[in-house]
Amino acid sequence: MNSPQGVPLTRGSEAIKHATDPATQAAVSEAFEQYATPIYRFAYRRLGNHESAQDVTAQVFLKAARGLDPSFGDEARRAWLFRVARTAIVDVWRSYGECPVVPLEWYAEEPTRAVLADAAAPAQVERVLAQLNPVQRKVLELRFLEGRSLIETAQELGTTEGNVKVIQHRALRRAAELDLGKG
Amino acid sequence: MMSDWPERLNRFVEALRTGHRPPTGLAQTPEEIDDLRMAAKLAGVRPGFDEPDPAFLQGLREQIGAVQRTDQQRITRSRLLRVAGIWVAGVAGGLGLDRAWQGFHAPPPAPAGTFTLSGGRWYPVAQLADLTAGVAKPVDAGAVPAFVLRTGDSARAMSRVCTHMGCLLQFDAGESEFQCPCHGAVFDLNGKPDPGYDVLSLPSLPPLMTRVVNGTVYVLGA
Repeated sequence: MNSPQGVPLTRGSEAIKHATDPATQAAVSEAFEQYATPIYRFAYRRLGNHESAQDVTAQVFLKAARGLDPSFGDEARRAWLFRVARTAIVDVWRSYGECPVVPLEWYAEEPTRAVLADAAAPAQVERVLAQLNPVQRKVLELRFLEGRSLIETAQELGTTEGNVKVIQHRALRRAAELDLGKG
Repeated sequence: MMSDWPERLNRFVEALRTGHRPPTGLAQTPEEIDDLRMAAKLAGVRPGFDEPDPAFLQGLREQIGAVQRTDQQRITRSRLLRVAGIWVAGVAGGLGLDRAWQGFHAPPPAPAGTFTLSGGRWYPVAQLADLTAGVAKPVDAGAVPAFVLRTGDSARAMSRVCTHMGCLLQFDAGESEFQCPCHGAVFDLNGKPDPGYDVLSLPSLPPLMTRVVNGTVYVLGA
């Protein structure tokens, strides 16, 4: 069992009462129908792949099944769900690097600001792409926006797969600098 | 920056492109993390790509229900234990008394505050290579008792808790079915109740979300 040793049973019983409480179950169902898709989008925007977005969404609502306070109003419930999602997203990002420097602020925004930032993201990406040289831009468009494979991208550009990897790296480096305002 | 970074970065990009979880531990410098973040941001703005798969949402809905039911059944099991201690021996079967006792009395993950315990988590439960098609393996995904079954190169899992009174089911290899030691309910390997035993029209065993990563089977539990 993965349950912690030494946790008093009363605490467990409270959790049981909580999860089987009809008010909690109703609140969780309502929260799921209202926020599963927004939470998924929130995660997808920050992680860029479906499996990770699914992991985060599942974590949020399985936690809600046990820990969501049914007395929360709309705003508190939304804030709670997004806070759990943010923590889960930051955990995923921590797993990508051995270095501890993860730009937390980008993933840990207050939900309303984050949703606004997400709405602005496509235009922002477009501006960044427009400042790259034509070959770099083409590689990022083919790889990310059109989802082409390495071979297809190499053929399209008349070059080798190895070279596409190098261009892709330089393009992302430059785009990251521009995006962070260092360009 | 290590010279193979374009290669490692490309592994990240390929994972994003194909919708998979990227490998962990790829980046070694803050610049490399910046590159990954830019890649995720680019993949994240693909028009129409940020919608969840309806099948995923439905699976998660069922999973939440399974967690709630499991909690309810834990109460039932505890009460049964108090009134009929001898019953443990029958249910425990091959598990051993200690294990069964722990299973029945272990508290569920703590409520709010300890994220890793109270949230849903992927639990490694088996090696795919150790599973045989048609043979269900009883496992615990955290506090969620489950059966895991091999399906070709993948695996699926379902709750191991009888939907009648919450007893733990046993797998009968000869009959290829799950049997309840308490009142004789029977479920097939898809979790459907056998109508022959099903006087109360029991619900099916809830399916649990399952993933296979590098040969290890994970079940989403709590």
